[in-house]
Amino acid sequence: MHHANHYYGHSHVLARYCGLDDRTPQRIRGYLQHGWNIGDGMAADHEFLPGVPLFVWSERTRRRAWSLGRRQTYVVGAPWAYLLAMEPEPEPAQPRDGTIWYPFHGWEGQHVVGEHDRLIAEIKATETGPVTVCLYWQEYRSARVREQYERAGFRVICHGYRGGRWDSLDPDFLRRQLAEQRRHRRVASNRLCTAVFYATLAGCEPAVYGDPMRLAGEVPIWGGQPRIRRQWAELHGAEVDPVAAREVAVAELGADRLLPPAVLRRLFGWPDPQPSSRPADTDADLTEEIR
Amino acid sequence: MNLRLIGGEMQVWSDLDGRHGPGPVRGPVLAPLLGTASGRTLVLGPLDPTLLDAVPVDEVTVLVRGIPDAEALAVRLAARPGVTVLCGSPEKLATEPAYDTVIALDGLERLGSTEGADLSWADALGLLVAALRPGGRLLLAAENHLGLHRLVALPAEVTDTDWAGAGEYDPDRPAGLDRLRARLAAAGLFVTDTHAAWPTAIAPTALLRPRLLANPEVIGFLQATLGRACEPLGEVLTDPGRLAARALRHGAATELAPAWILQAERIAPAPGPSGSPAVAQAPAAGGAALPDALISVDDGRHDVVNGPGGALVLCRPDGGTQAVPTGRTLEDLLIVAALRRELPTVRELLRRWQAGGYAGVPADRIVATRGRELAPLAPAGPPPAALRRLAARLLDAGLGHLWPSPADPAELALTLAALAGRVEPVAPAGDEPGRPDALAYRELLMSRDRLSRELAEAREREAWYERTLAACEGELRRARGMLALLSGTPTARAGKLFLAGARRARRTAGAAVRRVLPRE
Repeated sequence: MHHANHYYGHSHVLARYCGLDDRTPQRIRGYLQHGWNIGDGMAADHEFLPGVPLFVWSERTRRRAWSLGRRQTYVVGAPWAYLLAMEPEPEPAQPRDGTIWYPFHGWEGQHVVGEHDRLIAEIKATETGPVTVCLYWQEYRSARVREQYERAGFRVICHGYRGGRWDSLDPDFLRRQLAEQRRHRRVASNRLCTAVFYATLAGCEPAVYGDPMRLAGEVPIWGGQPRIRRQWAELHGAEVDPVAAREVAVAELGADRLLPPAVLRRLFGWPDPQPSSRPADTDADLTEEIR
Repeated sequence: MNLRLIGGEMQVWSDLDGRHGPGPVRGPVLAPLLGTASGRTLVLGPLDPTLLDAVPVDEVTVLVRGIPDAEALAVRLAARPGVTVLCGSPEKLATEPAYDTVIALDGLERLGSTEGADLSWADALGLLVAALRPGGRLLLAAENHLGLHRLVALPAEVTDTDWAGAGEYDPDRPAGLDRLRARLAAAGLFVTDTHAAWPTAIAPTALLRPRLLANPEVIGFLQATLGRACEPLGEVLTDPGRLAARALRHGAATELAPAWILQAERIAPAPGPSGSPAVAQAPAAGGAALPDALISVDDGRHDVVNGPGGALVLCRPDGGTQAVPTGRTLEDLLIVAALRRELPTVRELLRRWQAGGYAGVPADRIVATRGRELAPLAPAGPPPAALRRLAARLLDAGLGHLWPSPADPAELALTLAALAGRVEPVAPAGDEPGRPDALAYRELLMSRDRLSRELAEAREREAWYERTLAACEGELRRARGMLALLSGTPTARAGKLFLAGARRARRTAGAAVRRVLPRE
């Protein structure tokens, strides 16, 4: 129903999980949450049609959405968690080193106000290992910002473009992100954000510190950074209890609520796969695998 | 001839043919109650004649008010020489010798004749007590006007039999079980046993003692039992089975039972000088002979009795016995888990049900015991039918919003099947039951509201698709134009570009001229 369902290759990952063609995935019959947030799970600027279901990542988000008047809201878990279920970390795990650092970014049309130099100083003062800075594609395209981080001696990368309106879709976005995160021992950001949860679920030790910066014209309708710091205080700081952080990540990404392919296909209005291409229905308890 | 007219008889009246009212009290589940009769026995009121076969004594008197009924009974009972059929008004019984057992399973409302005295409830009870010898036993049914069958009923049809009864407005009639017991006590009777009758006073199929109905350990069994008993109620305001389940949850199933059947003994005068009643003489053994529950189902009667150590035992018609399963119905557990949005639990319950041997047993007829085992209380049908039944019941209970599915039984059944891990499709089959309570008005209203909402949503979606389609067509037009410009040989492309540029320039110039020059 919405082009945002295809951002970051989300629909591609889910189509693959469902045993369907993951190059040209079907339309999802509903709105799929595409990033962690502290509201109703959906982007504030999206047009919603009544009667079209919302598929959110976590039970907490669903409760919040319900309390905000959103009905037909169902928990499916984050596509990221499905990707990890399909591609568990190989045994033995590859050695991990250093920190992957996600400076807070704006999205299309948004601009971050803040001092990158000050942030770089904080990263250097905190991280003891090698640092990979991952920029959003907008910042990555800005030679000025990119070079700032490079000059600091950091490796600077970008996971790619999340996709436009049914255009320039990137089926491998999450896979690249996962491969990159699995090379690192730590993940850090100046704001608690989707990438921190992703990396935590992927086995990184999280940290949230540094100037959280702000978006130009940012209106914190859901309580903003102060609320995030209050509600998830245990995830803030340069050193965070990784066990507690993992529990939070499992809950926020709905990794404890993953659905079997047949159920997802029902929810999304997707067809059953052809018998020849049908993978084993991973009806096994994925929750256990994730944990 | 064993027929005797005693006065007050109705010449052309029949209670038994069912054409003037609800017909006689009926149902094989009543037979064991009649089987407790002893000594000289009087049976009053309209009672299914086949039930008289269950009265085990020789000396039986049957009183009816219509001559056709009396004649039919006389013919039917001609082979029993000890049986006398009386026809007329009950007040004429005063001249008859007292009885050891008096049975009035239709209650007191349909005893009086149009030709006889205008009897109040108390008058009629007085007549029955007077007909009973001291120490004799009364078997009396009383319809509960707050009974569940009335709560869900559409406005009742007035029949020929309602010539003067005040019904629930009768200030003289005891309303409620406690008041009924008190009135019997005041009339010199000691209540020895009580059964609640479901689903109607006129045709009960399940009789259960109040202490069993109040036992929370076996609530699943009771919900399944009452749910099944309530199924044939026809057109109703709301599903009576669901209301019965709610009554059981609240410990109010006895209070909301459609009727009560009481056994009471007439207290013999004490031998002491004061002449006060000797309450301590009761109870007698009659009530204890009956099971805690008598449940009539297709294959016969199932009884619940107290086994060794107080455990409840279910005796099947085939002679087999089993412990009454403790716990709640699978459907109840599923609903609780779904309401709490514990989807993993929901899936586990569905999977346990559909992967096991009872996949075809309806979820509302399965008790999930504390030992995590499933105890079926009904025969298995096709599993897809059981899933569709669950889907329909969930929707009718107003719980459609809990499921990620369109609010349609077939769609929801498919989703439930997927959640249960079933791989084969759950297509509708010809042998499936319809929606269990499609005749309920509450559910009809819910369906109407849902359809209205879905129509509004469909219209909004259609408008959205229209907008999206228009946008896509615009993009397609632009893309095709671009394609046309870029196709062909270099010379042709140059020509097209030139022409396109010229056309655009002309349009731009025209627009500029129109802006500058006045329209006149």
